[in-house]
Amino acid sequence: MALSRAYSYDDYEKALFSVDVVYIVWPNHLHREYAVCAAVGGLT
Amino acid sequence: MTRPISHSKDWNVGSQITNVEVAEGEAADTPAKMDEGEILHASIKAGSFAQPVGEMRRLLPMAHNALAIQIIQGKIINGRGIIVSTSRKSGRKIRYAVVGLGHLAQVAVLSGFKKAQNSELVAIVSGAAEKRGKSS
Repeated sequence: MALSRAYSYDDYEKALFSVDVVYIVWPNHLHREYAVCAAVGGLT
Repeated sequence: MTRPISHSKDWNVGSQITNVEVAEGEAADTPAKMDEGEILHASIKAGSFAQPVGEMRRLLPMAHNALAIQIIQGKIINGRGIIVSTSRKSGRKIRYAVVGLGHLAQVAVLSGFKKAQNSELVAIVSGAAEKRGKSS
């Protein structure tokens, strides 16, 4: 695996710069915040 | 989230865009670079994004503060922004970030990347420092 870094939630936006896809493993009602943030960044 | 989400995005995934340009000003044919600080709001609309999503990430810092960006099928309809040229990169693995390292992630998600051929895990996001340390 090419795991390059572990981020805290405060640094979530920084993680977006190095990935193509975000896999949100949270309960459904908590998806939105992270999904929207990633979508704004152009991720699928 | 440190920044408010104040703009919309609407695109489909399926085909590719080879060039995405966000131009300053109203006209689509007058692209010009501009400083990040000048952009106040963004509304990004693109017809399709497959690989270019990686390149679109470059828009993220600008998009958060863009005055107006509207992209449809890779052409600028109006707004301000910065020129981003994208090209499809073949052979590169899709880079994943896994957000949340709870039970499900540990037993069902992370382990899957070991067998993934077209994908790779490049980042994890967790609130637990202990989990972050174990995984890196």
